[in-house]
This record gives sequence, C-alpha cells and structure tokens, in this order.
Amino acid sequence: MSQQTPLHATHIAHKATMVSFAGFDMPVKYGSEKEEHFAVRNHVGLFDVSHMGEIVVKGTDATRFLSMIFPADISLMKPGQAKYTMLLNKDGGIIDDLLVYCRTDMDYMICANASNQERVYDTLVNISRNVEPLPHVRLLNESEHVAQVALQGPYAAQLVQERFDASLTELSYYHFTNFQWKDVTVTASRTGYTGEDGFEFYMPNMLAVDFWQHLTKDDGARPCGLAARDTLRLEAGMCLHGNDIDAQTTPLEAGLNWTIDWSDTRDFVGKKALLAQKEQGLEQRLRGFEVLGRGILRRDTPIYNGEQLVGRVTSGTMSPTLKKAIGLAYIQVGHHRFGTALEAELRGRRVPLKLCKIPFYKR
Amino acid sequence: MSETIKASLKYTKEHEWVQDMGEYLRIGITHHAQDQLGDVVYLELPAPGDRIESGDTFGVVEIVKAVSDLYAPISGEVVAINAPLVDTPEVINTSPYDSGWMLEIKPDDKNSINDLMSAEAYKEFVENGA
Repeated sequence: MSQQTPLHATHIAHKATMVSFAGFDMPVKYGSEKEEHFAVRNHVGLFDVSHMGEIVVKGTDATRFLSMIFPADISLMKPGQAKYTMLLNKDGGIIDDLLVYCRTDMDYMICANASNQERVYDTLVNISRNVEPLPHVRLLNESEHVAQVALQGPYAAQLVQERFDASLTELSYYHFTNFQWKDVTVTASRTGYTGEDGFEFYMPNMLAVDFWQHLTKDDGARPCGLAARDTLRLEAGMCLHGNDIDAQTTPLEAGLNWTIDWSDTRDFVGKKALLAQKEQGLEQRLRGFEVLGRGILRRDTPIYNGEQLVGRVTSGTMSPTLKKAIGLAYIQVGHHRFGTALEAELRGRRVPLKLCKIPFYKR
Repeated sequence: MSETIKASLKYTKEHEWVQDMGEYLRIGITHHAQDQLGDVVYLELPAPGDRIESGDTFGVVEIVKAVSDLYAPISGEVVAINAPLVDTPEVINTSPYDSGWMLEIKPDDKNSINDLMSAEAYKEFVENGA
C-alpha cells in the first residue's frame, strides 16, 4: 500500500494520473505533461513534493556532528543558508543527495529523497552513537509531519508577493526564511529542481491543502506532476538519486566535486575512499549526451565506441525545450571527452550520439 | 476534438484501429490509446516493404515516462507509412484517426479484418476498463 501525501485528495479531485513513486502515490501529470513543463519554463508551476523526507538535527554539538559527516563544511554555514551536499558511505558511494538548512548553529533541517530518508536517518543515528566523545545531538525524523511544495518558474516570486503579501524577491538563491500564513509558520527556500527561479515551501501537513489551493486558484500556478519534474531537472542537468547517482557511484564520477570541501583539517564520511579514487584516477564519468539519430535512450541503454562497450545511460528523455533527445550516461574514462561521437544500441540498431556539457538548458 | 470511437473502423484489444481502404488497410491507435498515453514525443515505424505479423510489434510510441509497443492487428506487407507523422508524433494526440494514421498494409488475408472488434464491441471493451 502506497503512502499518501496530505495533497492526495486534491490531486485526485484535479484528475491527476497517479503513479507509485518512492513508496508514495504521486501525481505524474494532471493533463499534458508538455504543457506543465512549459508552464514552469515560461510562467509558474506548483509541485507536490511532500514525499521528500525532513530530518531535524538539534543540540549543542549539531554543527560539529554534521561537519564530520558531510562533504560540505557545515561549520561554515550561516543561519538562513541552504547547502546541497551528500551523505556518503565509507566507499565514497552516494547514500543520498540532500539539502542541509542551517536554522541556528544548534538546529539544522535536512531534506532527503523520499526513498532514502529512512536510510539517511538511520545512518545519522548510527554515527551519533558510535563517535567519541558522544555528541550532544537529537535526531528527529519529521518526514510524516511536514508537507513540501515547490513553486517554480519565472513568475514564482511575483505570485508569492501577490498571494501571501510576503516579499521573497530579496531572498538569495540557496537561502531561506520563514513567514506566517493563517497563523502558521511556513519556511520558504529559494531552491528547486527545475533550472528555474522558485521556492520550496515547508509547512505542517494540515496547511498543505489551503496553501496549494491559494497558489493555484484564479489562474495562479499550474499544478505539475512528476513527468514534468523529470524533464525539467534533466534539462537543467540535475542528478536523480537512484538513476544518475547511487551507493555504487561517487561524487567524483558524478561530477559533483564542486560540492566537496577538501580542507586538510577536516574529515568526512567517505573522504579516504574519495582521495584514493582521486589518486588512482577515475574509471567512469557522468556525461550529458545529445542523440544525433532517432530515438530516446532510456536508462540502462548500452553505449559503444565501435565494438567496445563504453557506457550506459542513467537518464534519458525527449527535451521539450530543446526538442531533442538528451540524457545522462556513465562513460568510461578515455571515451568521455566533450564532443566525442559514440553510439547507443537501441532495439537492435545503432543510434549516434554526442557527449556534451550540462546543463542542457540555462535560464 | 476528434471522435472517441469511429463507427466505420475495426478495433483491437491493443487499442489499434484498422480502416478498410479497399486493397489496403490503414492502421493507427485509438483516441482512448492516445488519451491513456498522454503527450506522444516519439514514434518509430517500419519501412515500406517490411512485413508485419499479426500480434507482433511493428513499432513504438513513446511518452516522456514510457515506451509502448505497437502491435500488428493483421499480417501483411507495409505499402506506405505516414512519414510526416514521424517528425510530428504529437499529431497522434490531436488527430488519432485522421492525420495520425501510421501505416498502410497489403494484408495476406483481407478477411481477417472480420476477426477484429466492431466499434460497438470496442466501446464496450474500453468501458469495461481495458
């Protein structure tokens, strides 16, 4: 039995096509996924992302605790800042990619992927019990109590101003703030997963339906489903955990080196393995590709250089904005240079493709 | 908005329609099929001269999230394909029975069209949640 978000009945009432995703019954689209995609690129769309997990870390040692775990240096964060980072295993594999919100130096919230939130929580709890001296931290998995919606698109800030009388125009990218609506505190984070400007709002479950309706009514934001979310994030070159990154791939292979703080004075989980991988050299790299022939290359499609198998597709779609088939793939080092012409094998034929830089789309 | 089921056509359980053109048969997917699929973003068809075999796949339609096989309703030789449709597969959504036709075949046995569902039978099939 799939879990439901607080907005489940709202989606059904709006005739959404529902699919099972990460253990939740989620809207994949409400009408045309292409129109939903362009609503976000050109106007503003609203996504229910309440399936995402929220884990709170509190205590006098919260900063020190998180700083010894994450590849990003959490001790450098200021209250009101959000940071994209990852939880790695000892081998440097990515257990999950996540956002860390610094509320104070004793109070953080972590937003994890739905399918990984339990693992993230359990891993953090385990670490907290096995380090010396024992850190003063309290870990709370609030996922079941917190709803999250993402308002994305060039008119997001304007719509918020209009509907909530809250000016978030000045809020910087990767920062967050709180505002009151109906006497309830809503957290607004200037982040997203679409490549457009926008906000991710966190709130108690009971506020979600009113909040959603307030943003979507009277030709406000267009409700958008997971199908549009996937084409938008892929055009923006953003990784999806479970597809493009997972516990068997490292941030170095995935091109997420920029998220890592390497300073000598600080250790983090997986650092030793990543340093060793750096030293030995990488065997594969995540690359964007553009299909030059005909066909959409889906996950696990093999990629060849002549007769040699050199890669596999991790995500692939038809880009509505570029009107081209695009995707991400792990490619063996040596064949991974931008511009390299390779071939995929699709339904018994060869389809030419070219490796290219990501993002495919920049606002 | 196109008709949801056309009385003059024959239908399959795979939600394809077949139109009797005399010597040839024209094939496409139904309104119900495109509605269930959603925005079609890619179409792959056989080439004229290729053979298609009843019950086997003859091509694919793709939406953002999925790939669906197209099943041949009747065996025969492909005599024509709707080439412009391959570059504008979204037409399948707006005109599944007209501009969205896919193939014309010369059937091995034209009488096999009588084995397919009538419009009435197909309507019932769809309404029973197929």
